[in-house]
Amino acid sequence: MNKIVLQRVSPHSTVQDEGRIVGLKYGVSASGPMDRQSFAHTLALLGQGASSALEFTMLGLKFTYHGQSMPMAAAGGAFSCTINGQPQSWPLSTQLNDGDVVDVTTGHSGMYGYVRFNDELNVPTLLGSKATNLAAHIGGLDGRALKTGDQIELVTSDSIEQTAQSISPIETEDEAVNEVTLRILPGLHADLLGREAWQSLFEAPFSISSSTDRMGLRLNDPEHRFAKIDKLRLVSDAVVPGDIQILGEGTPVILMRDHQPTGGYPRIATLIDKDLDRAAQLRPNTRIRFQSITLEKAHQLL
Amino acid sequence: MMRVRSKGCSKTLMVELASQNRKRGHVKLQPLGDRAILVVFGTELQLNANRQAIQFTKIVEEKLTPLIIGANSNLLSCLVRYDPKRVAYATLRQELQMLLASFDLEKLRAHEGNKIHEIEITYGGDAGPDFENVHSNLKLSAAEFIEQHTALPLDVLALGFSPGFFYLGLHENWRDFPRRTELRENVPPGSVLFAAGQTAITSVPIRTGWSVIGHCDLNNFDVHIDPPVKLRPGDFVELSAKGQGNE
Repeated sequence: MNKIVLQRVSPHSTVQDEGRIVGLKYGVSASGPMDRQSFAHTLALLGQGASSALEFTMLGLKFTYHGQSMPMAAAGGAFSCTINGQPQSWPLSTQLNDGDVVDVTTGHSGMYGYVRFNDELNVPTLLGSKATNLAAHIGGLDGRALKTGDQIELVTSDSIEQTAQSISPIETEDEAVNEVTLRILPGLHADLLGREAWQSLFEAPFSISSSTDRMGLRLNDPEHRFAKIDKLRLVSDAVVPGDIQILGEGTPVILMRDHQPTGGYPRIATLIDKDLDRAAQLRPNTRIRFQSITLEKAHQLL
Repeated sequence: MMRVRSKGCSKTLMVELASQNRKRGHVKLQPLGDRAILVVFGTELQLNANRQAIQFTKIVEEKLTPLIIGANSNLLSCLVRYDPKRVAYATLRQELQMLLASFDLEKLRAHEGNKIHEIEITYGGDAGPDFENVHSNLKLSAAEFIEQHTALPLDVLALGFSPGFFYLGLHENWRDFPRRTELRENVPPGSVLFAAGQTAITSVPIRTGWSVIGHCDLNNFDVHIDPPVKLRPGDFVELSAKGQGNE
């Protein structure tokens, strides 16, 4: 039996795959990798491999591999990695042998990284997906985050192949990045919130707060520009990843992969899909500026 | 990486904002990000608009399924998710407009579902801590409230918010009943919630500002079964009182 045993794992690390596409009609958002490009990158490095991967957060993870020789790839952010104490490159493609200890530690940037094996992580497929939704407690290991001591079997299954068109060049932030531009489209309630609220989005930077997880990135707004915004008494409506909702006290939140499927808070803007992965990788205190873009241009970027 | 400073809201953008709101009848087609279109049938919760959203969603699923990623209804809208690499926004928008053109928006929509679910509720007691507050605020006795609450069959208006969570309605007379100012934490599955002319039933533990008026044995979410829910938007529900805890 091939397996890994986790010796250390950072909070909110999970099992992910492409996501639970059908979940939304039953009240479950799709989940899936916070940084899909890096997730796809691990598959590109392997050539072919499992459909699922371990997603770990900023402090990385450490595990021992037990079993027959196993191809493994790791990517995402700028983490450091050793195998049996020997420094490795990042991103990494390698072959693990019985007893190997893989230790991934935090690097100079990035919030999410991925480890993918040739063999599949042996967790149940629920509604067509192995992805963990931490908000709904579904998928992965009993719907929860990974923890030290977890053992996950690796089993052979129909491996998937990297297709040429499904990977786009990885966009990583420079080493010294402390201000990032994210592109947005008007959100579901942009017109109701009015021109002034919309324009205020561009006046001064926000920053990523320390309260970020798979559900959403809370933003710090030193200007408190939405403190007095009209709450609109909205009928609850569909939410999509990237929606920027304004909470009751005026805090903007960029909703991420484990978002609630519907919500009643006003949503002023929506991040373009292309910038969602970059946003996920931003560490607390990173300053962000928004830039408006047209839908047409957003589609041209794909 | 881009370091371009934003110039704020351009003129073109405001034109686009306005054109998004151009109405076809009273229906609005609104892009939601760059991978979804929301077809909005109203902004005030009305049974007819809700039924339009549900019935239009079925049509979208039937007619556009190979083209789109998925369609699902919300209280007043139909969310259509698409992959812009697979179908152009303009094409999908046109397809939706064509479906809307043959979708009679003037017609008062009858309930289409043939599924009727019976749900027995235990009102009040430990499992319904806000029950007394609700009926006394409505100036009704417990028995009167229960009688009115269970009097009419209700539409399953939508699934959403959390796994298996569904909204029932409408209780027309109680539309103005407010949410609580404080949130209740860890409200257990099977809880019967009440606010704004709607009853909702939970299937997983949640935090809510709705009043918790009772409990039922129904669990509308089992991830190990496909589909994982028993009740779907457009179904009918008949409520009855289990006859305990209603004093």
